[in-house]
Amino acid sequence: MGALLLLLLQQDASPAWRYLAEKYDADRDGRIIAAEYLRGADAFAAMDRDADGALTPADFSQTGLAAWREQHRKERQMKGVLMAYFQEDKEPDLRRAELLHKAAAFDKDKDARMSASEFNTLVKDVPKGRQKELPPADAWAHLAATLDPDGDARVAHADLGAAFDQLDADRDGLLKQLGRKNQPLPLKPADKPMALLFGSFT
Amino acid sequence: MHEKYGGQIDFKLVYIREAHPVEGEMPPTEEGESCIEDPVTLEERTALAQRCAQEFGLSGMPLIVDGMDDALGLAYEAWPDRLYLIGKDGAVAWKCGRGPAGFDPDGLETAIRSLLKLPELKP
Repeated sequence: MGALLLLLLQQDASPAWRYLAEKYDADRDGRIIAAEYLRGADAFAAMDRDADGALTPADFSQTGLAAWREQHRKERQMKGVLMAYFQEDKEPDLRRAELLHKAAAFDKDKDARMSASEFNTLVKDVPKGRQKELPPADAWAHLAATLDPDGDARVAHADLGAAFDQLDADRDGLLKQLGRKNQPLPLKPADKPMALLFGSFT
Repeated sequence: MHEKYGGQIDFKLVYIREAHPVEGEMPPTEEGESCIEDPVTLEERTALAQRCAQEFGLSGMPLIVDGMDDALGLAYEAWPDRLYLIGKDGAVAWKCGRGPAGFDPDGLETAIRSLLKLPELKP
């Protein structure tokens, strides 16, 4: 009965899950554990979207993927807010200490929490170019929605630090700016113009 | 386009990180979609790039394979796909947006014709 149920589940599962199960689910129990997966811990963790320690059809279902993408979207937005508004120097990366130092520097009432008015003061210090992607009102709305669970319109500095830690997957105390702009482009033409076609198999 | 303008323009295929590998944010969910695992070594990536060029009928075009650090994909903000036209001086003459929404092969041809001072194509 169990085997039949498993077979039915497999038939309904996404092609990605079936492909992986065929290749890595050595004991055919409908779960791929880390010891069965042979292509690295990073990829395993990326696919274990519900973080239950095993790859299952749920990690590849439309519902599971949609929930994970929403979570991922929120994390990207948080990273955008922190990187845009909490930098003190001209380096494109954001250090944890830099984030907390800036939050403290604008903590007018010294309560270790950031209010909307303190954030608005901080914004005056942020170059306009950095505010473009996520305007201050949206940035504050995201901070308040994510890091103000008690709804008192204040964001604890400790929660800013915790949000940073959640985004800092390699735990090096640094959030890196990917795809930096204004870097020289590496591919140079020889004696005639060059058309570059970037892409992949899928 | 490669055959049409290849004498005057160097076309290069740049293989970058897979767009929809089974491990990715958007793995295949529909029947019939290709299941590809994202390469974890440069050898794997090179082999997949060559297979990709072959299956898409682009094996006649010089192939550049991005490193495992995705340096090219990041520098050109090219993932998942994108087109660039670089002038002889090394400056970007034209680029489209990132795919799939921004991917614009017709725009590339228009830009090539403009760069080569050829008459505009009639619609």
